[in-house]
Amino acid sequence: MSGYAFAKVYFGVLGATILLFGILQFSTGLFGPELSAGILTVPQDVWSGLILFFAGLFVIDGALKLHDIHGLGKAVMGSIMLWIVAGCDIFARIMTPIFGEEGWVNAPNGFLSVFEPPYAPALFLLPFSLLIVHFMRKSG
Amino acid sequence: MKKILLVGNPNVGKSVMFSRLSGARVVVSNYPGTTVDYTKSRMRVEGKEYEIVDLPGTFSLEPKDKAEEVACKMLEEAKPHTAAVIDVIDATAVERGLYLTLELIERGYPVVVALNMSDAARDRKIKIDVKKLERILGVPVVETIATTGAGLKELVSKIGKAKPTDIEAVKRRLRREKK
Amino acid sequence: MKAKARLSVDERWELVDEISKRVVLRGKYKHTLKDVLSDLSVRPATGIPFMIAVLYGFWMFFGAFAGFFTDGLAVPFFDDHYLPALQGAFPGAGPTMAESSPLYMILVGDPNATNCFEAFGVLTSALFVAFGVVLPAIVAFYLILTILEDCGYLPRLATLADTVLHKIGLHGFAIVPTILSLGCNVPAVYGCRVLETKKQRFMMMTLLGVFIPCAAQIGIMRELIPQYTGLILIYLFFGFFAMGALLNKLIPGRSPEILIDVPPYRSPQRSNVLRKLGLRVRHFLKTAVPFVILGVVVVNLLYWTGVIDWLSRVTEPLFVVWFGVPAATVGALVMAFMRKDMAVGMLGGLASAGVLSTGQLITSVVLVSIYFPCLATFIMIWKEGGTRDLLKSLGVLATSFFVFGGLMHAIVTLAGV
Repeated sequence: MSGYAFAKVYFGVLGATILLFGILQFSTGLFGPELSAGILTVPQDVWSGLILFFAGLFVIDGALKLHDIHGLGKAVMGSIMLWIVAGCDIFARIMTPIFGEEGWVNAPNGFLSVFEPPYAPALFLLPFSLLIVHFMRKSG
Repeated sequence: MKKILLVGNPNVGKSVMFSRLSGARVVVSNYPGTTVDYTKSRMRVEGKEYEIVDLPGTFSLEPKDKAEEVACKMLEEAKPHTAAVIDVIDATAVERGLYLTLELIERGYPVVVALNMSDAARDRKIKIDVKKLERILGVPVVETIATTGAGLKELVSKIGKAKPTDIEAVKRRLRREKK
Repeated sequence: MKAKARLSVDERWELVDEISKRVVLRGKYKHTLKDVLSDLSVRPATGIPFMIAVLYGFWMFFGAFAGFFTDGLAVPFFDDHYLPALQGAFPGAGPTMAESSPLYMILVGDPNATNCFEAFGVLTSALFVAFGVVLPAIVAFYLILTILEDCGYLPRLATLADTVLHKIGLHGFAIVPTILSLGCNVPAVYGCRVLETKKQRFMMMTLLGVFIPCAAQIGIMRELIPQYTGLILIYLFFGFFAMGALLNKLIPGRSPEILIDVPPYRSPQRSNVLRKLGLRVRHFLKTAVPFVILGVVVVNLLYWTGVIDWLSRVTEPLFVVWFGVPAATVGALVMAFMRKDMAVGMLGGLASAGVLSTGQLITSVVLVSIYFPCLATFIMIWKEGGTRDLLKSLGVLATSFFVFGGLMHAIVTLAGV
């Protein structure tokens, strides 16, 4: 049970972070300006902000009753939503660098520059959310 | 050429079975109503060539929409040339499938029942007594998993054994099973 | 064979009951994660945010994938290498399009064009549009759609949409042809067969043809006016519901309620996804590409013989007064009856030349989107619904064209763009 106690706190904090960034992303999407700090940048996008907002809510709500299959299900759904946002970001990064302004294929450094920071919050949160897979396995 | 018809409720895996049996390419999806028209292909059973037809899903032989109409009309027209009707039943919702099975039996079609998605049924802790069902209906019953191909060989071997039976006989056999 | 006894419906259900009591044994069933997810995705409070996420993913993937192949590969190849080479090598070029030889005009088009979109020849525009713009859009769309179909998400979307669609007399399942239609209207019109009554089928076919742009159209819009594509799509969906509600009132007939069957989630099988994608792309290549090429030939001939000029002059007052677009666009809009992609291409050219304001561009693209996507859609509606339904559909099309085109004109005027 102590594993679950830890997990509840873990996913509670994770959910709150997702929620917070969701709100930030949504409001900068509506009112601007773009927020950027170090390697983190909050994209001005209403839709992904909205999705992260709900994802955060679901993860928090699920974390509170993680030992129960219904709670776990909700946390999983929230995580999937986060994965969709992060996945789209990664996919778009992969698809842009192959051609540059100049021609068909970018020079290697141009290719890599697209993968350099700053990253959107969803990308930072993605690895932390993968812990949920462990609990999914456990439930069968 | 004699025909083999694939009949059943919507989204029970008729089209998957059709592509498995005939090698033909058809569109298969996990939602009811993917097939809205029939598709024909050929297959060989014990050295004999048959025409195999994938029909749109239907809940009963009294059609409610246009896709069901296509299925019922095809069944009607093909009746004199039908070698067997493979009645595909979703093993997780046997009752709905059996309704159609009984209708087919009443109308004198030679039926083979495929209890498809038997893996999903097992996951849901649903057990079906295949032998007993076979005894009651008086037609071959085979458990299948069309997506993996399990049970399809047995199903094909039973096609030759499909014979019409009648509903009164089903009732009689049912009463016998009671005791 | 002796006459068989037939049972009544009730007797038959009774017999089913008796049989299943003897052969089916239900063990104690514990809810699995799959069931919980299934449940959550149809309950509005959780299902709607999840739906937004799924559609967002759909759209972003579509954009990145199609963008990569169109902007990244096709545009540089066609514009920088293929077009100049062809313009140089093909005999019969004159200083302008009208002064070139007819064969040059039909096959290559404008000798001064700097990109394939605005060249208008069979070997330039048609090939570029078919393979450079439309093909990537189709592949991207069907890849995602196939995965959604096979895992079983679509029926859940239908359940969620049921409440809204019922307001316009359609069944929730109508969302499935609607989404199919975003790929290609032809199989979608075919898919309307799953709807129960003639009224529902007619309404759905018409609404699809008029308001739902296909992947080809969306791909072209995205290519030319990426910043307004989302806005135009939302406007068209609004038109879909408004017109749907009206048709529901006007057309006699039933819109019965039925329950949607929600199958369990399954993990899609790679072989099936790839096979289905292959089938659909091949189908597109076989049906759409010949139409695109034929369309270019016909339009070029009409243009060459002066028919388009004449049509433009006749209809000019209507377009200028009612829709508020400049006279220069009339040719493009008339042409759009046969060739939407080319029409959008011309509009894009006019906008970049400064002839069209943003608002006028949006209105024009909306007009183009309201026409049926292609000749194949006409034929399909005719085949599925008959002549009467096709004529009625065309009536709805004409009405929508005036109402929603005019309304957009009013909106952009008021918004001041």
